[in-house]
Amino acid sequence: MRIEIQGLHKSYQNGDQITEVLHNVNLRVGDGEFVAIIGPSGSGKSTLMNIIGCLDRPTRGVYYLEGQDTGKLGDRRLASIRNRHIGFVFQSFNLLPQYTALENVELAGLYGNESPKRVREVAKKALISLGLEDRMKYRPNQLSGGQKQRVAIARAIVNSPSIILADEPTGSLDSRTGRKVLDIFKKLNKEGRIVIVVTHDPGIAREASRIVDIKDGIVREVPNEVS
Amino acid sequence: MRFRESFRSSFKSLFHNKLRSFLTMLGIIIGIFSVIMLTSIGEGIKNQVTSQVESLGANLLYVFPGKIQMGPQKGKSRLGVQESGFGQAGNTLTYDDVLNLKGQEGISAVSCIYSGVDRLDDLDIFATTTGTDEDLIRVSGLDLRFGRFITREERLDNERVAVIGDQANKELFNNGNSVGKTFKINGEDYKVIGVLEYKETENMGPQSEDVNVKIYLPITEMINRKEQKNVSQILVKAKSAEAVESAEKTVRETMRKNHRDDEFTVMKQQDMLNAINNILGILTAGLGGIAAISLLVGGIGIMNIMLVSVTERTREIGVRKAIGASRRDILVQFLIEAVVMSIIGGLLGLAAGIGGARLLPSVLPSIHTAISLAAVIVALVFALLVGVFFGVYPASKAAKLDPIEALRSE
Repeated sequence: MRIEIQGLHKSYQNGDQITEVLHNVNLRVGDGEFVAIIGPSGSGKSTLMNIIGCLDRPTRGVYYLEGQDTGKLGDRRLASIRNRHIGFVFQSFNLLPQYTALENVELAGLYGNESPKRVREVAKKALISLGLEDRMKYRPNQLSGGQKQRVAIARAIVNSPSIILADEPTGSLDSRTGRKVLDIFKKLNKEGRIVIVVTHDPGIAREASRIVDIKDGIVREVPNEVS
Repeated sequence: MRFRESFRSSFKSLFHNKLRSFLTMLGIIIGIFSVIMLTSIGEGIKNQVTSQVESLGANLLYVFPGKIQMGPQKGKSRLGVQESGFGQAGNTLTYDDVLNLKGQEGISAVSCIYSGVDRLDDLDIFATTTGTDEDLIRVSGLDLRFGRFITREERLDNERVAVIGDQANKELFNNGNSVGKTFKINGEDYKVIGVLEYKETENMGPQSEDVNVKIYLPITEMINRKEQKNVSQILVKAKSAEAVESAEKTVRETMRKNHRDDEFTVMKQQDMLNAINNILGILTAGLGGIAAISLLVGGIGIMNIMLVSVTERTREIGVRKAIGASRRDILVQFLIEAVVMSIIGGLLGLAAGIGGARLLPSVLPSIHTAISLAAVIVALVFALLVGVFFGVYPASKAAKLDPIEALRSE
C-alpha cells in the first residue's frame, strides 16, 4: 500500500469565516513504515489522519491511495476502502456499548459483506491474538481501559487492512498498559502494515520509523534520533 | 452490510433501549388497536342489521301509504315539502288492495298489517292488536310454538280467534299451551288458536317491533268493528329473489288501478338494506378515520424518538462509518429500526384489537363485533407506511452526518 499526498489543503467554513487547517501538505508513506504524527493540539494532526483514513476529503490537492485518486471515489467506494484497507483506533476506544467485545469486532467484518460465519471465525482469531479469548462475551463497560483498546485494535485488524491509523491510542491509558498497546502496534508494523499514530507522547514518537511534525498546518519531517 | 445483518443490528439497538422502544411503539399499538376495534364494531353493527333484514327474506316488498322519498327532492323546486308523509294521515290503502295483489304473476304471498287498539278485559288495559290474514305467516318469519295461524275461512267468517305472542301468553294465561282457551276483548270472548315462539327483540331494521306482545286477529273481524278501514302496511313476497324486480313492477301497476302515484310507496328489502348499509359504511369509515389519526400521532412519535436517537447516537454513527459503513448502510439501519418498531407495534396493536373485539361482546352484550380482513390488512399496511414515512427523515439525517463531526461529538 502506498500513500501519496500532493499539495493538500484543508479548510473549514465556520459561518462566514474560513479557517485553513492544513496548508500545502506533501507526504508519502510506503509499505512497512511506522509514522508518528506529532504537534500541538489544534495543529491539524487529526484532520490529516482523517483524510488519510478516507473519512474526510481535502479541500484542494490530491490524495492517491495505491495510485488511485481518492477524490474521484464515491461514498460507497470510500466506505469499502475504510473497511478493507484501513483500521482505525481511537483514543476513547469507541466501542458500541450495546455489543459484546466479539460483536464489536464482528461489526467491521459484517460491513465488508462477509458471511456471518466467516466473520465470527476471524473476529475470534483477532481477539485471541490479542489475548482476549476469555473476554469475548463481555460488554465494553465490563472491560478495563487496556482491554477495551485491545478490542478496538482487534476490530481494526479483523479485515486484515494494510494501514492502521491510531489517534492518541494511549491517551486514555496508564503508562504500563499504554506501553503494551504500543508493543501491539509495533508487532502489527513488523507484519508489514503501515502504522500511522497521532500522538503527544514523545515516547511513542521515538519508537516510530519516521516522525512528521505539524505546526500551524505546515508539515515538516523530523529526523528520528533513535533510528 | 447484508440485509439480514442490518436487521439484526437494528433489532439489537431497539432491544438495548427496551423501555424507550416500547413507549415509542405504544403510539402505534394504540393507533392500530383503535382502528381494529372501531372498524370491528362498525362491521358488527352492519352484519347484525344485514342479517336481521335478510332473515326476513330478500324477496320481500313493502307497500306503505303515502309517498316516501329516499334521496333528494325531485321536481322543479327544491323547497317543496312532500305532500303526504310516512304515516296514517291520508292513508288510502285498503284490504281490497291486498286481495287484488294476491295471485298476481311472480308473487307468492301477500299479507298486511292493520293496527288497532282494543281493551283487554282480563288485564284491565288497552293494548295494541294487529289485524292480518292467513298469509302473514308466509311473508314474515313468525314461528308458532303451539296451535296454528289464522286460516282463510276464519278470515272470511270474521271469527273471533287470536294468535298471541309469548309475553301476551304469559300475562293472559301464565304461559303454557293456551290453545283453546279464551280471553275477553271489548267484552267479547276470543279463542286462542296459536301461540308464537319467544323471539329476541330486534332493535334494528324495519320490523323492529316486539313480536312477543302481539295479538293477531283476523283482519276482517277487526275492520268490521272499527271506523278506520285502512291497512298500515302491505307485505308482498316475490316468488324468488330474482323475481323481486318484476314483482315490484306488478305491485306498482296493480296499485295504480285504484290509487294515485303519491298514495303509496313500494319498497324493496334491498332498498332498505342499501340505505342502512350506506349509513353504516360511512359510520365505519368515520370511526376508522378517527382511529387513523391516532396512528398518525404514533408515527410522529416514532419520528420524534428516531430524531432523538440519531442525535444521541451520533458517535456510534461516526464509529460505524469509520469501520466501513456507507451512507446507505446507516440509512438502512435507522429505517429498519423505525419500520420494525411500527410493524411490531402494529402486530401488538392488532393482537390487542382482535382480542378486544372478541372480548367486547361478552362485556357489553348488546354490541356485536366483526373483524374484517380488509381492516386488518389496511391497518398493517398503514403501520408499515407510517414507519417508512416517519423513519426516512431521521434515517437520512443519520446517513448524512459528517463522520468527523460524529466522531468528535461526546
